[in-house]
This record gives sequence, structure tokens and C-alpha cells, in this order.
Amino acid sequence: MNCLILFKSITYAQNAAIKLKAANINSYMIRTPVSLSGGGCGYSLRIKCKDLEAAKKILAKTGVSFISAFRINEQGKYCVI
Amino acid sequence: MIYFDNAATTFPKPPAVTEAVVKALKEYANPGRGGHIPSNKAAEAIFNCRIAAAELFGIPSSPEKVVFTNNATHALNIAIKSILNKGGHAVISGYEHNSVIRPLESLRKAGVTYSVARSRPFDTEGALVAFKELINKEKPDCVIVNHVSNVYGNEMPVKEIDEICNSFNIPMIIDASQSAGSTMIDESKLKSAAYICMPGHKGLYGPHGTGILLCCKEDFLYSLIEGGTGSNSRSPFQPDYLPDVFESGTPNVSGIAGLSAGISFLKKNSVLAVKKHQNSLLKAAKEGLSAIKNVNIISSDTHTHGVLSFNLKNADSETVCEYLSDNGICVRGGLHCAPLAHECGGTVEKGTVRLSFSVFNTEKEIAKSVEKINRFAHSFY
Repeated sequence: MNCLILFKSITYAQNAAIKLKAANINSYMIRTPVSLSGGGCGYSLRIKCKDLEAAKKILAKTGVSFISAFRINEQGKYCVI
Repeated sequence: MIYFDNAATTFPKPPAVTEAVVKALKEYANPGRGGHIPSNKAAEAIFNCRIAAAELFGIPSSPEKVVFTNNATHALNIAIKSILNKGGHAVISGYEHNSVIRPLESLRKAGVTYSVARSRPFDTEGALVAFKELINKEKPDCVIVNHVSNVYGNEMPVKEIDEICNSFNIPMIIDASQSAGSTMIDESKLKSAAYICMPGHKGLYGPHGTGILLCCKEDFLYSLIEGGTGSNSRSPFQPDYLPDVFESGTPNVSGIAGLSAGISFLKKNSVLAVKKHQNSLLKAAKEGLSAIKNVNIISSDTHTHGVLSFNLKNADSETVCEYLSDNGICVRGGLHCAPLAHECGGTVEKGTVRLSFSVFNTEKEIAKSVEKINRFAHSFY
């Protein structure tokens, strides 16, 4: 199952991807779905949900802030975590 | 052709820079706007350059603090107007370029004033005393220091000025136009630095129209232009976070890709090796020129940067430059957009002839140029 971590700008998403990669967590950067972005336009990292807690810890430790995280359910809908 | 005008822009550029620019023009689209492959490629190229610059200047974990600008002038305008947009007082060195003086003069209508910490070229102690006195007396809102003069190549005691600024909690702006790429600058060791401004097209060997603003503190963020950033689009207001606050509109993708290649070239050669090479060229030039009658070299034993000014007695600096240009040697005369520096050095009336070096210059080129200058001197007197 996949999760999404939302960032306020592409630079933050790119920086986060590097930090996660260094910790062996793979991620894939996508445009944030409009229904989630609120503010409109942004970038997110898609990761495996099993990695989410570890990813949050790494981001907190490395000082890369994120907006929120969502789980993508079987129907493809986003559930806020 | 011999090119000794590298303080204006380095030339030629490393072949990898040209290749990176061409690749970007062929393969990259608008970064940070779409999610398709050409857009992502552009975004990756830009982020790679942010990381490379962040590593070079001692902030590897904070690529968002690297803001891309059009040049150092653009970066300096952002820096100065971020701190002084509502007025205030600045203390500046006697070696500031017009890219500092003119924004300050423009801000006079907002109530901005400034004082100049004057010193003679290469008088480091004198510069420090002047800064100390003015900072103590005036408690400015901002201090602006030209790290290495584009006119004489003299270095300001940035570390010591940083200590003074830090003790008064005064933000410092550093103009690293001539030092970035040839002098180690570690942002993390400068406590008071709010902004460090530099061109991408000089010592970093990038293409024209590139510059970097290192934002060391996030207390002063004032955008000069507002617009699309590819983030927070529903808001009518400019984002208040780095780097988006200062990067509205489509960036110079090909230029930044070239700059990334320039920084890689520099890292491969090492900043210290570049400095050493420039220093050996400087020594050779000083030695050669000092043997010519009627030459006045503005230098000292502490002079190590690859910028050298001289004059020939009674000859206009531009006349000397024209002669050298006619003989295939590219140098720069006049006031170098830095009349304040020339006032401090006593050369404002005639300007100076400036030689400035890059990694591509050789001692053989120095010898050939000295010979031409000698020939001019013989015909002139």
C-alpha cells in the first residue's frame, strides 16, 4: 500500500527524497493531487506505507518540513493519517 | 587571443558547461511546474545545482537556502532590500561596487542612510579599525562587505568583521563576486552573515546570466518580484519560504544546468588549487610589470587574489587597454563600476588597467602581455 507525503514546494520534496534515499527508503516524486493540496500546486513523495513512520522520523531529524501525509486505499482514495 | 578580463566574466568556459547548456536546451522543460519527464529532468538539474552550491559553501543539508538569481547585482539587490526596505542605516566597506551603492542610493527615499568604512587598499588593519569605529558609533542595521575588491584584489577581513557584527547582532551582507570559487567561503562559520551574494559566471565558471544568493538567515525575506512559483498556487500572496519567495517565474534552466557543470569543474580542480594557480600568475605579472619604467602597481605582499591593477604614468587606462586589445590582449580599464574603491585607492581620476586571471591562463600569456605593455610604454614616453 502506498502513502503520500505532501511538501510545500518542489525543493523540499527533492531534499526529502535525498534524505530518505540515504536511509534506504525509496520514494517517487509526483505532483500533489489538487484535492489534497488545498493551496494548489505542490509536490509529494509517494512511498510504501510500511516506510512512513521511519520516513517521518528521518525528515524530523534532518529538518525537512512537510505539510501532511495520506494513505492511498484500495479504491485509490486518500485517507489522511 | 589572451583573455585577462576574468573579473568581468570567466572566459572561456569549461567545455562541460557548454555541453550542459546544450543538453538543457534540448531535453529540459519548465521545472517545478509539471510532473512529466522533461519538467522533472529540468527540476532535477536545478536541484543538483542547489546541492552542489550548498556543499561548496558549507550548507550541504540546506539546499533551499541556495537561491538562483540573474547575477550578483540581482542577489545584492534582494539582500539589501530585504534588510533595509523599511529604512535603516548601513555601514559598508570602501570597496563596494555600484551594485551596492546604487541600491542604497535608491533606498534613500525609504529613509536609508549609509556610512563608508574607508581604508587604503591592502590595509587590512585599517579596514578593521574603520569598521570597528563606525559599527560602535552608529550601531547600523546592516553591514555590507565586499570580500575581495574587483578593482585591486584586496581582501576585507570578513571573519573579524563577522565577530564584531555578531557581538552587536547586526546582519552582514557579503559580496563574494570576486572570491566565490577562488577562496573558501564556509557559510556555517560566519555567525552574522545574512546573505552571501555571488555571480555564477565568474569564479564558478557558469554561463552569463547566472547568480547565487545564499540565504543564511530567514529573518529577512523581501521579494523584489512576485509571481508564479509552482507552489501554493491558490494563494494570491507570494510564498514566504525559501527558495520560492525569491524565485518567481521560469528560471534560467539552461544557465543553471551550465552553472552546475561549472561548479563540478571547480570542485574537480579544487578551490585551493585555483587560488594557488591565480597567485602564481599574480606573482609573475607583478614581477614582469615592476620591471617596466613608469608603471605603478597597486599591490602589496599580502596580495594573493587573481586581480591586479596598475597604471602607466600619464597614460589614460583606457588608452592602454585599447592598445592591448589591438594586440589581442583583453583587459579592462576605467573605474570598473566601483568608483568608491578607486577613491579609496587614489585612482578615481584615471582609473586603472586591470588584469584578472582564471584557471585557463598561463605564465606564458603573462610574459607576452608584459612584453606588449613594455612596448606601449616605450612608444608612449
